[in-house]
Amino acid sequence: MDITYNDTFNVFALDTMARTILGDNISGVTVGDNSRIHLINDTVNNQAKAQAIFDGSGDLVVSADKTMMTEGDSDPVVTCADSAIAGDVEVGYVALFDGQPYADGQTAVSGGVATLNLIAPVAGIYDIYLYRLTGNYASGSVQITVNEV
Amino acid sequence: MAWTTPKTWSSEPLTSSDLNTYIRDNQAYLLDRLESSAQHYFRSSGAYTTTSATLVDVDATNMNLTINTTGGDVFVGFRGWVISGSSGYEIAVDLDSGTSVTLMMGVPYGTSYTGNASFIAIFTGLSAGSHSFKLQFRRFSSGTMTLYPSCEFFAVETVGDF
Repeated sequence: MDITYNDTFNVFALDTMARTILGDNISGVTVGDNSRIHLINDTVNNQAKAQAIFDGSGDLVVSADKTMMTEGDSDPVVTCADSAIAGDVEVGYVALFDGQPYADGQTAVSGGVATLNLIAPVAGIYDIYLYRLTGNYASGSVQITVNEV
Repeated sequence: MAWTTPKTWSSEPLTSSDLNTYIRDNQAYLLDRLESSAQHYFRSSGAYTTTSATLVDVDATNMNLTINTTGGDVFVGFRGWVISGSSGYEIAVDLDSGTSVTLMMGVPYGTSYTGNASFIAIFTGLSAGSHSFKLQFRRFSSGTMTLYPSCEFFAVETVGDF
């Protein structure tokens, strides 16, 4: 069964989030005129999770201390202090560099705040997504542009 | 509009009723047959990308062609370009939402190089009536597979059977 959303997500970010949240219950995702999560195990619970990934997109407030910088500047820090994650232990993250996979994983929430350091970024565009691993699976992103020296 | 077996005229008067039935209506039927026995979709912009390891519809709205046949063979084709940088890929056509027929398998050639992913195929033994042909794709084990725009998919009933 496909869970379809009438918007086009970044395929790498959507794939990482969906696989982290739904595991082997999906065969993957497809992005074209719309975005689809392909459920192998389409229990009601899994359908709800897949739908929540779509519905919660953009609901987390994610920011960075700088969104425009030059190579060699101090490393940017990405922060999420959204009240939705106040009770969470960890959140997931996906980092894209010029639209391609760069890094992904999970980071701790401390005092209701999740932070990520983008270490020594080089010239290009970084898109950093943070997403909840529980609850409503809300997500948000920030873009950081790094210019050449 | 149904087909009416043509009348064999002898020496009776040519009436407007007969002309309408045997000429006008039958020509309209033939034209409709031609127009409904072929479908084509050209993708001018926007790529399709999947991370699915099982076959999934490329585009259930546009890359899903339905034609009405008289029981003849159907000629199906796709012309396009693909990147599948991390693992192999498969392209298939799903007939009548039930049988996926693999028509193309490829191997990766790096994330920066597109490869030709075109095929033609003949579907034989189909009954007369409506048939749907859906393009499907998947990548094998990892990474993404992308079908690029300026691709096209068609299905047409052939005049003669193979």
